[in-house]
Amino acid sequence: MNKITAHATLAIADIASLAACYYVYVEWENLKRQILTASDIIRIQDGMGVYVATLIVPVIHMATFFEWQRAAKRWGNRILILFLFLFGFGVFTLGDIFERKLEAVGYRYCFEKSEMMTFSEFKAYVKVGAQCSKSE
Amino acid sequence: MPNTVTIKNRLQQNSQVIDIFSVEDLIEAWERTTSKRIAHEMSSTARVGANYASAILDSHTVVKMVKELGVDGKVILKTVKGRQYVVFKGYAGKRSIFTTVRYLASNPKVVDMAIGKVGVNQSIISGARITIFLVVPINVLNYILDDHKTMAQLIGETATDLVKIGVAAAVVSLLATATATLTTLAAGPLVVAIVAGLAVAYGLDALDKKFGVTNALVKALNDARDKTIGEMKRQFNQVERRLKWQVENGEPVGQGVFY
Repeated sequence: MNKITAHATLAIADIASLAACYYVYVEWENLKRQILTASDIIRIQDGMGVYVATLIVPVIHMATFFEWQRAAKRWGNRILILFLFLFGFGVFTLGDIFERKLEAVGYRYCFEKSEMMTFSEFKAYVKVGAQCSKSE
Repeated sequence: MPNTVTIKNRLQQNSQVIDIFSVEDLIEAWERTTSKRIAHEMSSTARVGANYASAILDSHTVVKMVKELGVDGKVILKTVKGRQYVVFKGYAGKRSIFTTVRYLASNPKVVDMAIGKVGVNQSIISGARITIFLVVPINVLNYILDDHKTMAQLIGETATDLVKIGVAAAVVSLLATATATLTTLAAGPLVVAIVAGLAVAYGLDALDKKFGVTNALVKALNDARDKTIGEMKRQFNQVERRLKWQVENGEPVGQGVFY
């Protein structure tokens, strides 16, 4: 793969990464709206932090532009280390944040209504006291 | 008054609790307490775990790489006389695995550590293979345990799972190769592969859910089965009924069917 193709490929990945973060934002807003309207059931994909973690792709891509500059390289590495920490934080805690928010406003996880896909689970939360069964 | 107390006492002694369930709730309550249900829940968890298996293995490789080369460990890919080499920057004496400066890209040490294009791609292929080895048996297990699952669902789900794994592996391979072309950071391509691998997999799941690809495939398989085997069964039943009727009514058997 030549450098131009590599840059073009990573540019597409950069856009996809930003789109993924926007998707998380939209889902968060949807979640808040559904809580406000007191929806009986709220469905959310588990492990949303993975989408946020894709921001590492544009970071690495940007770092490749400045590799020839020593100072930028040093800072690039520091940013990369910081981002690795954020990645771990995002992946393991964002889902928990979503779940805690739902539990705080009176929803509970319902296995029966949740849907298992190939790689992830679309978790369903129902209001406390509401019936949680497949038949509904 | 004493009569009231007596009646009250007698009622309390003979009190009974009656729970009224719908048929579905009763079946669900029964399923929940059986080993089938527990096994089903376990397989669901295992399914999500299967996705993380390759990511965890790759993360372990990244940790090993960082220990060996440092977070900012650098490698340069060089092609000399048609053979690709991986050249390590820094002092070779400080390293315990890569004790010389230059290795062939296909060297087992380099491939094991997923360094360079060959190494990362090898890691992606083995990750996809592990995912397939875990996801397909889990699908079969779900099919065996779940009474409501049909063969069409098993085939449809497995087919989309394999396509998703293939697409994710191809996209990740492309991104890792592009990163390896542009950066000298040793861990860069593998970190991109891990993050992009998970994100692409999750994204494909979200798209599948939104557009109902798996459900559409299962429906198409059901329809196809209904139009072929189902139709054949119906025709056989019709012929059988006609023959029975002819036998019962003393008419020439097979008339209007075979001749």
